[in-house]
Amino acid sequence: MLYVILAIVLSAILTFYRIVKGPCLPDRIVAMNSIGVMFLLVLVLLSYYFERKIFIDVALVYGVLLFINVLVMAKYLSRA
Amino acid sequence: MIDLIHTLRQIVAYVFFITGIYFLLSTAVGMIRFPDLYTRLHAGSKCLMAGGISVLMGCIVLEGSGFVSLKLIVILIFLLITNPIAIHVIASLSYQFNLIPKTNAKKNIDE
Repeated sequence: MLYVILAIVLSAILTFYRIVKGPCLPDRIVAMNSIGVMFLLVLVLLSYYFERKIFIDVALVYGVLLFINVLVMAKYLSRA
Repeated sequence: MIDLIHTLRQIVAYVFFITGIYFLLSTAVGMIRFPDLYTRLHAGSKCLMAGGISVLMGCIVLEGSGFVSLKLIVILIFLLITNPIAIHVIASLSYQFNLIPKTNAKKNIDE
């Protein structure tokens, strides 16, 4: 289980390159959304790694807040 | 008999985990190497959801019946509903910024 977590974290680190070097701003927003979903999967797998099943609620709330972040950014940037 | 069922469940779960890792690394490579914004939107929507569905299905197979599996199904359905909405909103935002794609198809047809 630990190797699965390490592979997803490596994928998130490779995706972080697009945040550092993105030509425009929606590139960074897409990379942020991808890293957020990857860390949601890491939170679900850490619940299995520690054998403490109540941590799945943390992942559920994190998914709701991630979606609201993207909507607020788009609503703020689209209208003048 | 119970040990055989447990072993088979673990094998199926790790097959799901390996396919999920493959799709997530594909997302990372596409996010680095695609030349344009709209292709990156494509990589950030489809490959990411394939990896997420695979990893969550592996967790559901490891868990079995119970309330934890129901919570995992709720997370999966929520991701399936909300991530295409987020990608569509970002695409609409980048259309209002007048960001044209770098590779124009009409030029490729003319040449």
